[in-house]
Amino acid sequence: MDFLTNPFIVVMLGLYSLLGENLVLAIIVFTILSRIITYPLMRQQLKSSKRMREIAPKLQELREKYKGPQNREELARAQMELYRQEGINPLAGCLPLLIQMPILFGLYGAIYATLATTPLQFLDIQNRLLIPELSAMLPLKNQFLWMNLGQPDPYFVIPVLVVISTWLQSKLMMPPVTDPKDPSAAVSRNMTTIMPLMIGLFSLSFASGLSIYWIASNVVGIVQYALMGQIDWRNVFSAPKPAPAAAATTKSAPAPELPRRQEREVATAPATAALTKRKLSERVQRPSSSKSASPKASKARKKK
Amino acid sequence: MKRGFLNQQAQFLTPRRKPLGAALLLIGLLLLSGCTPLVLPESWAGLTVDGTLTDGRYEARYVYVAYRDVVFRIDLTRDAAGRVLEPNQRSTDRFVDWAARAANNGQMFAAPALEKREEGVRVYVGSYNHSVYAFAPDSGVRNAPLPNWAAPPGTEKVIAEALVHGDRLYVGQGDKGIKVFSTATGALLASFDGTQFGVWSAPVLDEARNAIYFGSMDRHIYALDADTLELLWRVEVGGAVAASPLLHEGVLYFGTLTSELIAVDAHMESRLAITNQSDRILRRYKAEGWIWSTPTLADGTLYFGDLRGYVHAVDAATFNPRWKAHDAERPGGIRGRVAVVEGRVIAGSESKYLRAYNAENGAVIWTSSPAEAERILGDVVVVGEMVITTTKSEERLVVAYDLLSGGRLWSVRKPSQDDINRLAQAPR
Repeated sequence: MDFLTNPFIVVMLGLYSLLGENLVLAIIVFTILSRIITYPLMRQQLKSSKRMREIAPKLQELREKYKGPQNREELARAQMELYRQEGINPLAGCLPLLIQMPILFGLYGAIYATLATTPLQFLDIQNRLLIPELSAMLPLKNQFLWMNLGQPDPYFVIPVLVVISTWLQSKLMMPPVTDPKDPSAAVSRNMTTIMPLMIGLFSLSFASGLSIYWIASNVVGIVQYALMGQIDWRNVFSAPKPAPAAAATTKSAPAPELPRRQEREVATAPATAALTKRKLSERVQRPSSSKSASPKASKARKKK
Repeated sequence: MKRGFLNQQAQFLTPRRKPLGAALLLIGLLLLSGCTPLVLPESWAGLTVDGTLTDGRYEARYVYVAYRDVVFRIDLTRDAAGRVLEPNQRSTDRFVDWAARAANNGQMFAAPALEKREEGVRVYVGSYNHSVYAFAPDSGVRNAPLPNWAAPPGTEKVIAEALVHGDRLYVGQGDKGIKVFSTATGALLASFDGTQFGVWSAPVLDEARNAIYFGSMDRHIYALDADTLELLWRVEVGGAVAASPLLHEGVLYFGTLTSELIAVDAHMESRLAITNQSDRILRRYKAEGWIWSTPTLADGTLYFGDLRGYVHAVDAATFNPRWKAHDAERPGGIRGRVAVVEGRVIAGSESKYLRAYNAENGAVIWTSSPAEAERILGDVVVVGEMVITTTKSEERLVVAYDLLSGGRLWSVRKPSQDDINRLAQAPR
């Protein structure tokens, strides 16, 4: 991973120099830049996962149709056929993630390396500096408020912020549940609780500079998702509700991309209002009229 | 064929496989965020010879080593079983006659500092866990630090080797400044907090001036009053100074992490009026890589290695280079101090080899064999006819080579807890 980490170290040190030798500011700007660079990949990944969500009812239907281990091969074939018909590559969601992973590792390695506090860590940096003149900057000023950024936070403030920001991000980005019986939904919910706690636990022994990177990354992620209309603030205060209408409309064509809130309103429309729902469905299928989907959904609720 | 592959993909992506995905994600996160920072901070082993140095060669019986949380002593005159070795008798190991463990898992990064007392030797080592330990190998408490000797609260993590002078112990602080403790009790006698970053190496004492000199990671060289730790002067040198300076005839020679060897006039005020402290800088020499060791002076030439793997020979008076050598076949940084004896310059390298160069022209005399399992990061010393250094391997932590041929003579592993307990109970 050195081929990625070493250039990132140079960028990190360059930012440190440009930003008045403020290491925290350098970490934050570094995080923002990396998020901007990986934004197209993230967008692609989101699009893909959204498409997968859209065909989830159809997949569920297929699973019902081909129940039992003897039909596993048939199920797989039918699923592939469905992906083909819908023009979806099931791996398209993974690929951007896979591309992002090495970048993330590189970033992480760069921040870890520049926060060197022990002699052995310092020894390692020497071979990583692509521009030898950068040696004059070392060691970096790693004192910030009460913290030594190369050491864990002694008062646990930063680990708490890591937990909160990670939890907030996972909550806000949790996809709507298409099938309450789906075990993956339960796993997803559990992960929202377990992951922040686990990462918080790790951050107790992290260099606090790394934890600051993590917090900044979460905050920037939330802002990015918000700008893309992918955030549902209601998730923060309540568990995401299942979307029964999604299952009810399995025979309809997959909905085009809509901002998340509109999609949710369509999904939570009463199942009994069949006529209204059909109208909504028609509107949803016409991207040009998608903006009016939300008021119609409100009207449908009022009628009920 | 393609269809079969697609089927596999589809099966993998069914929701039933999602818990597996979650588990993989967890493992990924563990790898991403957990592994490296959870590892204990560590460094290389520090080695101190208890003997007299003449022309680059020690006459000594004992070598003291500190590594991680263990400090121990090797008796060079006996084999592992404790039998006294005849002058030309060979043995593949040596006798560890004392070992102790630091309290609270304290990680020791520096070489032990020794103090000769009537009742026996006293060993001082600072730790990365904000402590300074005193050990008394010849006393009743043999396998642990002296319980009645404790550095006071407020001591920072210690990376530097300590300096003993009279009843005072000078210890550089890992984050900032330097402190002086009483060797009798460990009480704090004086402190200096005027550096911006840590002091990672031992100060040198100038008895004639009653001053101490040391380099700091804040890119300065400092001179302090040895009694009060009052600042006498400081010079900005452009790069962090990680190793102790060499004091010779009023001039300090040291390397920086900006790859420079620098000479600073410590006695300038007696020779010239100073208008600016930077006037003290007499000469600069640019090496290939970072210099993390104290240069060795022999016959008017300074010898040192750099972290790009070059060994340099530089005229001390003019800083004109005499030669520089590099092992292109086995590249590896030279972290430790080189030994110069009988026209040989011997350097240990991260390439896991030790090399002897001709001090006159830099020609290779020998390359050690066989290669070590781990990097050689320690200083190189010559005791009698043996070249001794330390590696990063716990199995062969201390290694000795033949001065004439470079063949490995013996090695000593890091003592285990069982070894420490056994040695504590052994009759003396």
